[in-house]
Amino acid sequence: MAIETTKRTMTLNLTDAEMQVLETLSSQKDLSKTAVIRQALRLYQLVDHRLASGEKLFFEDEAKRQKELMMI
Amino acid sequence: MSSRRKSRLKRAGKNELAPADIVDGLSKEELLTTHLDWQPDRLEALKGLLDAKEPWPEHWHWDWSKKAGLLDFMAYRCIGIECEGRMQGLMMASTLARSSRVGPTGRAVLYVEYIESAPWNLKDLVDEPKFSGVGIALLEAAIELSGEEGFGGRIALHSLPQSEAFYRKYMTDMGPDQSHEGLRYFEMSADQARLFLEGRK
Amino acid sequence: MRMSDELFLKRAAEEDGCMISAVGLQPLHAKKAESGQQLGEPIRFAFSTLISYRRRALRMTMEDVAQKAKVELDELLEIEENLSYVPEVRTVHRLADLLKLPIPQLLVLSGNAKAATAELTEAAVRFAARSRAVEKLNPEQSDALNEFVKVLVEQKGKETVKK
Repeated sequence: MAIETTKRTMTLNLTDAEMQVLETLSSQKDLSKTAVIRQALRLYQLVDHRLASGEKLFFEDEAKRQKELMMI
Repeated sequence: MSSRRKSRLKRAGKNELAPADIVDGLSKEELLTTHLDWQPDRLEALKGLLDAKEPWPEHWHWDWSKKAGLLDFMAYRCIGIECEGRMQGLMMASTLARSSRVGPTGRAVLYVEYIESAPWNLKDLVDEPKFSGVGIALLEAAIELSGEEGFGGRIALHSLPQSEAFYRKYMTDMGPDQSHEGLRYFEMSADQARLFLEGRK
Repeated sequence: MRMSDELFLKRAAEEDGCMISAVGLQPLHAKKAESGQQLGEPIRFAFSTLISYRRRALRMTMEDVAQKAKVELDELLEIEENLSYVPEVRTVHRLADLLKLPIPQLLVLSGNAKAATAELTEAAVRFAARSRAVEKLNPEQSDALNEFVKVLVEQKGKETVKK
């Protein structure tokens, strides 16, 4: 995989609610908003690949012995 | 395409540095080539250990093709340290942030998926190791990557038992992680990363 | 920021050729099929799906089945979700009783016995291929289930080989 040595700029149009979420995550995780978006992109790529290969995504609460299928 | 920056290693048995390169962004092919290059010495060492009835961690026969496959995803980065024309150490890190468990908790941490020194650098495997400082140089590279990602230098990893003493010097030992075959989980906070680089610890 | 050469020499000397190996979590894109059970996987998938479909066809939740069959909910989850999990023979018997499925064939599908006939294997593979794990059975899934159960019942009289 090539290393990104050049960066490109894009304008992101977000609703107020989306911007609020972005700012909250940025603050909670002590990451810049750009870093948060990068994290989202990386996670999306990985999850999307597994879903595309037929797997399912679950959340599990071991204490409550519950599993919840993520329908995405 | 990978990029390079200057680094160094220590010649084992001598108080002198050898110029080395940190090679950032190794491709799948480069990773597999390194694996092939290390394999004969590794097998030789493994045979020796088996003959001597020494214990050996089961993770030593990792499936490299599986690890290499991670590089299809931009979350994963492979970094090596090259000296005298050969890869002396390898590291694979996930830039998909984990959550810190060392205070302050919940912060982004760079997770080191894998780190290893070339077999000819290990005193348990060879009588005369070639280079020392592979671990130090790769930890340094990990901290740098963590910083680039905005994680403040925070890193984490699960150590194999034989390596625990090394990581305990610079990171917080969070104890055995039952979700990870009981391997001990180590984390380096931003402060610890700074101390590691500045040498005040 | 990089450490000074002096500090590096000191730290490298302390490292002194010791092992530095660390190993991470399973790759996020790894599949359970890597465990080397490619040949048995459709059969085991057929078992998981059969239990799951049959349970739903009888309008039972996992908790219902766990309670009535006197099996651990954990184990039932493993049966329905984890293709590498082989349930105990006792559990298979209890599930077979509750879900009204033929025991010998269920033992084969669960990995506790070998199939004596190719028919069962083929039927299991076909069922696995037709199955998709969704919460509610659609008519096609109901058909697939009924067809497969029919084969199991027909196979009932035939011998199986214990593992």
